[in-house]
Amino acid sequence: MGILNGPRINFWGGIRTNVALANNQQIFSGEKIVDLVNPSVVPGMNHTDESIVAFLQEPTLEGYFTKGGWNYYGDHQVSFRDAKVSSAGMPGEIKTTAALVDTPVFLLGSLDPKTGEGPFASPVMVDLDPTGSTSTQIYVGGLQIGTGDKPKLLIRHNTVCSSHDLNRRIIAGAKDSPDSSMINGTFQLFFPMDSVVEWDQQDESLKAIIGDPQATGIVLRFCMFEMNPELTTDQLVEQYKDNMSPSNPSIGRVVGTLAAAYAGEPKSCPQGRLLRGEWRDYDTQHQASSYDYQQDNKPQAMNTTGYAELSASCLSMDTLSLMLKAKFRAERTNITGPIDPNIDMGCLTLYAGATEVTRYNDQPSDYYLYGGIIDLPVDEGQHTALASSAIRISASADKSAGPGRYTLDVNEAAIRIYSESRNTYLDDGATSFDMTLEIRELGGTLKTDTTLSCSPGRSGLLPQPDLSEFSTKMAGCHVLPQTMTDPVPACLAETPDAEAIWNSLKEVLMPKFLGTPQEISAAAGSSQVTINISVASAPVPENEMPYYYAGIAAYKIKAVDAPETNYFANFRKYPSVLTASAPGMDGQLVAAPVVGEEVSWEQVYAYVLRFYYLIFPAMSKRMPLNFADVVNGAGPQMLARTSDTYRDTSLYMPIVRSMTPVQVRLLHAYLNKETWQG
Amino acid sequence: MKRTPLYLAIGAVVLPALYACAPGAQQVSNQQASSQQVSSQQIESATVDSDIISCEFPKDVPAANASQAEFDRYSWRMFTALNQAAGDYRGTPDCAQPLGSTSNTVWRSYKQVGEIFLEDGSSPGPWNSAINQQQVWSSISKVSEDGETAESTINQPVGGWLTDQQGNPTYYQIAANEVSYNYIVNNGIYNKEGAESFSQKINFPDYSVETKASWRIMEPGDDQSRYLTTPATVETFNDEGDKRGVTKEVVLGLVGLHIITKAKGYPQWVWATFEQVDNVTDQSVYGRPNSYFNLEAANDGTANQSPCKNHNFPCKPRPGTVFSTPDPLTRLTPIAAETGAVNKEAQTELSANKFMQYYELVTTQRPKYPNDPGNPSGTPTPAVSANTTMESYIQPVSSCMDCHSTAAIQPGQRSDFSFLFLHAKSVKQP
Repeated sequence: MGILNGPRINFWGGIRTNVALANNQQIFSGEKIVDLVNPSVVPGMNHTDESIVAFLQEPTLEGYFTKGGWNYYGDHQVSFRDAKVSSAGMPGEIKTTAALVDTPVFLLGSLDPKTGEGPFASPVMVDLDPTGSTSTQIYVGGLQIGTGDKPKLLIRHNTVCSSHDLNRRIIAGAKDSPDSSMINGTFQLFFPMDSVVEWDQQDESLKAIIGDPQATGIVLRFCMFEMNPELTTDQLVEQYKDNMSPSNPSIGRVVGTLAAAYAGEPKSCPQGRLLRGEWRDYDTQHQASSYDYQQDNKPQAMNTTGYAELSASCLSMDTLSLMLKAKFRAERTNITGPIDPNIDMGCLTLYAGATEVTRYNDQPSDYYLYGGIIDLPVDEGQHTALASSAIRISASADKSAGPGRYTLDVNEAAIRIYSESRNTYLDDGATSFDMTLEIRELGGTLKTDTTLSCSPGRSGLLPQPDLSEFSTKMAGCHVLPQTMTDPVPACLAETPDAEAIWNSLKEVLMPKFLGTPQEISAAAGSSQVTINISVASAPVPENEMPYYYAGIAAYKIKAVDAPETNYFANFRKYPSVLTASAPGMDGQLVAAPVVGEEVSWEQVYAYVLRFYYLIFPAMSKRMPLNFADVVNGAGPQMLARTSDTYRDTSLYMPIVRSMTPVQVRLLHAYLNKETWQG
Repeated sequence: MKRTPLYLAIGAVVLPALYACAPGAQQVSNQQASSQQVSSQQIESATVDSDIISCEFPKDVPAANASQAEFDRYSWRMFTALNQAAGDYRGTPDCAQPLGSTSNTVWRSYKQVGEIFLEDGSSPGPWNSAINQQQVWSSISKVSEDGETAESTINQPVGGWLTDQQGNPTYYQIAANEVSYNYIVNNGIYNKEGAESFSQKINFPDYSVETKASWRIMEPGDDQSRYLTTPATVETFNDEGDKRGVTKEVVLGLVGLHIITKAKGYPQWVWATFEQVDNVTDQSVYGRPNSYFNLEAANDGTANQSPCKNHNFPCKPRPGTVFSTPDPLTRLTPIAAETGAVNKEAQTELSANKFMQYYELVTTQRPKYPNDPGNPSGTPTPAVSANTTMESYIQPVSSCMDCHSTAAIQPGQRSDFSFLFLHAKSVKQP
């Protein structure tokens, strides 16, 4: 059931994600300015606040935005723009004439947990690992369909969704934009039924979902794509020069579906059998970028992702992130006009294993009106075939030679691994935790015993040690290990002592707080397995190797016999001590707080607030963090919004959730005028 | 709503030099013309409405997708309406008086925070009370007089006092109009206890207006004809910035004016800020003393620095400086070309209105998407709005809407973009 086999409400429109980027790296132009693990300006960085801000606004030498990225003043807020319901109905009976069509759809920020007032701001997009490109998350406070005092649907519920399927969506990305302009991101949210505050009980589309007695809640799946910074490099640099301090949000398209959720279904990741698309372009004259080509200049497959669910009468497929668009929209800022068509693959052939089941026509032009979901009616024989064999889809041979000159082969992953765990902030002092994995084979339980390989690894750039000692040893091989179990790469294989070099690299690159590699068995007939992952404590002294015993790491899981089937979850562990020393606003080191003594303004600024003043200047548009009078004046709000009460809301401070517990304690000690207890 | 352009009745004869080119002047209706029985003297003085000028506070706010210039014209209409001579009833204009004829303007007859939030927390009474002429001007920084940091946050510039090039502090005033005042009084939220126990969400009515003004002392050499001026009794301060307990009589000149209004359809309010045109330009070339500009500081990058050592609180002067050490300023974010063009248009139109022509709009900030439930902040546009005399030290990150969006009575209890409640006092038992 869920979005694939149950009643649906589809919508599309624009989306605006105003993420700040200056925390995406800690080394700028070869010089380390900030420590992203223990958020602070690094000792020895004796530049003043003014000079660091100016530096981050400077254009890069490559002419690509600025040293602080393409959005220094982002406030992390996310909002739909003119998103409206486009269709609704039951699978196979989706109508663009439903009463709800054209009603606006809004993702909401959180109400204040203390008073219930608000929302005062939008949902917020936060990267657990700002240096990575594999996952982001959105903290949400609810959903609304319709406007005014009597919306058609109003849901209030604090929840978070993480990105899935960050796959290729567009062949040729936008100019003057990051590579992510070619990428799709899928998000899924679950709202329990008791979080529905009000709804129009006369509306048939809503009644089908909310009135379903089997439904445990409402699930919302949306994809964003065609994302690019609103301003070009030239526009941004010009505005920085004039101190206009603009935010430069990433803007693009959103297509989504709202549906009933049922027991046993995933809440925060897409539902269904996993389909993997492989696109190939045989016209080398039209290569989009080197991104698409391997070293041998043969066209590399572009991988996409879809999901399928089989019911007695219908095979429903979520093809939203399975099908490709050829080009980015022509008008950079037009995110609410009709979406350009996908590549027209014409007639597609659906197989169950090697058996052709049916052929169907692609929907390249209006797919987004239907949430990108295709419902194919199946008879009993087709159902039996699809239930017992892997789904396969192929573009027709005729069309592959046609104008698009692309071929598409879709194969169902033999095994799908997924989890509700995607981005997790580890509790202070945790020594281990359990992660439950869901495992499916052809949408059902495992048919054979399956072994999973689990290994900690890097999530993004951290740890970010000096690798100069390896430059000669690597002999031109630029591959770095991503997990503890990565084998020696081919480019290093001919190098003497390859194994030793590779292991040395792992030693300096791998975070060390997240367990050790392990294998775990899942028995035939099972659909779930739980892994216990240990959390290592830092050796004494605790801050001896902070990058290894605190920070950000990924835990990566693969099926040993189906290595293309994998899953990862990211974890962040905060350091338990303050950085040993930190420079203040003039670049001079400030003495660390002393236990038993009052915390001074200079100390709380250097050890806590300065990082946020410099790296998240949008915060200072609300309350300038570099002035004691402001910080003191906002003290009650800062105390509240750094408390656990706000942790699960979009109002938690800092929004980027990088402030360590010990930094929070220091801030509270200063604001409460208490002595420092460490 | 635009006010009747009275001059059309006879102004074509009487006032051609003043108003013949007033753009946007509308046809007067016969009914309106005949209902206004005014003397020749009054007619010569009457305010004439246009795209730039309005005698009554304007309610014809542009649509959210209107241009910057349209909002800027709206701001000028607010500015001119508020600088109209005040009528007998506080907060209302006497449209028969010429614009720029008096410092007893509409906005100066609004209730100041001290008249809204009384020291003993009692009800401030009905709106139309007599204006206190004996007020001592003491507010020189965002830091509150009694050291209560909550009060210090916003209502005056971040980062301490502002000393002009003649060594005098800048003084600040905050006031509210009748709509805003009545909302506070009628809901009993004129003291801390009342505000904190208010069971509803703070939600000011449409066309609530607040103003924040900055003033500097007029010294010999200053051309007072270029300022809205007022005699005042002001506090004086020692080298550390502490009150001496001694006042002096001075003439103050208006150097900055924030105007905010909760225009209909704009729950995030509309924000305009004006400055006196000489604030941060080199006046020495005209033989006048500089207000806040200092050429050397502008060139060596030492302008716009907070006077407070390490930005600390309470503010103590930076090493080597004292309270009277000037705090030189420059404008870090240029006035937008569109706004500059509207300013020129306005200043030309106001060229006969004495000091009015010597003010300029810095910008109008408003929400780009004012009624989007998914985007309650509305996307402040433009991103930055700074008055050099009020956001002197935070100009590149100064955003009226963003800053005021945090306004709260207590955590979780927002105060609808208004920091007025920071001035609320506890009820004192008799």
